[in-house]
Amino acid sequence: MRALTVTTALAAHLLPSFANAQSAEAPPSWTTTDAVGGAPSRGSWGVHAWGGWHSFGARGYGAITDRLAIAGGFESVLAIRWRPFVALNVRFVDTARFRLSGEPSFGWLLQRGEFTKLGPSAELRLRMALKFGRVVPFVTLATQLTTLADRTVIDSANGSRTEWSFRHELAFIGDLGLAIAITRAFGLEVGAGYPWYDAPNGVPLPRFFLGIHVGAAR
Amino acid sequence: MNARFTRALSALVSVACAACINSDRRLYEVDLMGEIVAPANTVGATTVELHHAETFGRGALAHPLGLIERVSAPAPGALRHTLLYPTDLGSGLVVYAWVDLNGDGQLCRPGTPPEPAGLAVVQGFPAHALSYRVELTSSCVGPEALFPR
Repeated sequence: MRALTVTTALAAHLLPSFANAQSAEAPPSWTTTDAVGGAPSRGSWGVHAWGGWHSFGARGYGAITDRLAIAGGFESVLAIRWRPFVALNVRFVDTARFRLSGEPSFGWLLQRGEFTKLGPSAELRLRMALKFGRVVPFVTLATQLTTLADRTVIDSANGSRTEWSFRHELAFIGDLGLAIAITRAFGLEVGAGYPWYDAPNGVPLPRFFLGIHVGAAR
Repeated sequence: MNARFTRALSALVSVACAACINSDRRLYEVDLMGEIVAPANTVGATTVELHHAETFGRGALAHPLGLIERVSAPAPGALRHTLLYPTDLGSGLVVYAWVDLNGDGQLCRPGTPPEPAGLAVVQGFPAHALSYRVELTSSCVGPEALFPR
């Protein structure tokens, strides 16, 4: 009952703002909000680096319009699984209290070790952030699809022929964290996540991380 | 300029291909003509197993046998089969066969009559066309009891 009350109050607080997504009342942006919630305003840029157990990464972005930014970076798990990527960040909602952006990205999976995995990888990421002054709780949800190609060369009496087959690796990633803007251009974050690589076969392991945001928000 | 561009593009495509091959298997196609020779009046489904002669390890530490494929035939006799032999998992070629006299799908289950089995090392491998002959002169033995001799 209490949860329902809290949810209703939160919705009542946020929903009127949704209708006015480009509200003129929105306060000046912070680099921290841009880094964790995405959707920076035109001319904004920043670098977001994070690390902990079991993964780390870095991401740079620059806004080319008020709704669109380009981004690029990498993510790594235990320095065994690497995924460099380029992305587009699209603003869906930006109000005084809430920000939601989508980030389709294209990358390349490079996993070495016992289970080598190499191949192109597409990801769709949703970034959500609440804005309480300098404090920015955030949630990130992502799904990732990687195509893995296998080659078989058959030597027969008539010569060699090559056959290709393809497998797919699916991953789901969810992160929850709290970011704090130290200044407009600099912030820190702490968070935890539950990435599930190679779903449904792989074993999901929780992760914990600290992050830093540096940039310029317009 | 065009030649330089073509070379650069070829190099880029080569690097991209090398960075996207996960499993790279090499198979050697062998057309096998076999003859399974069983004692007179032996009737029953025949199971033929094709093995590497050696798999892991080298020299005295080499592990004998390694199943590649299992083939079924309605009865002993001539059998033609095309084998795709994984060259990177072992060496040599061995054929093992047994006849399921009572149709229970198992070799010599306790309380059932003995069933004939035999093994042959395929001579001349590697070659794309080979023949072999397996004489089922043993009873109730698996391939590991017959190889190495």
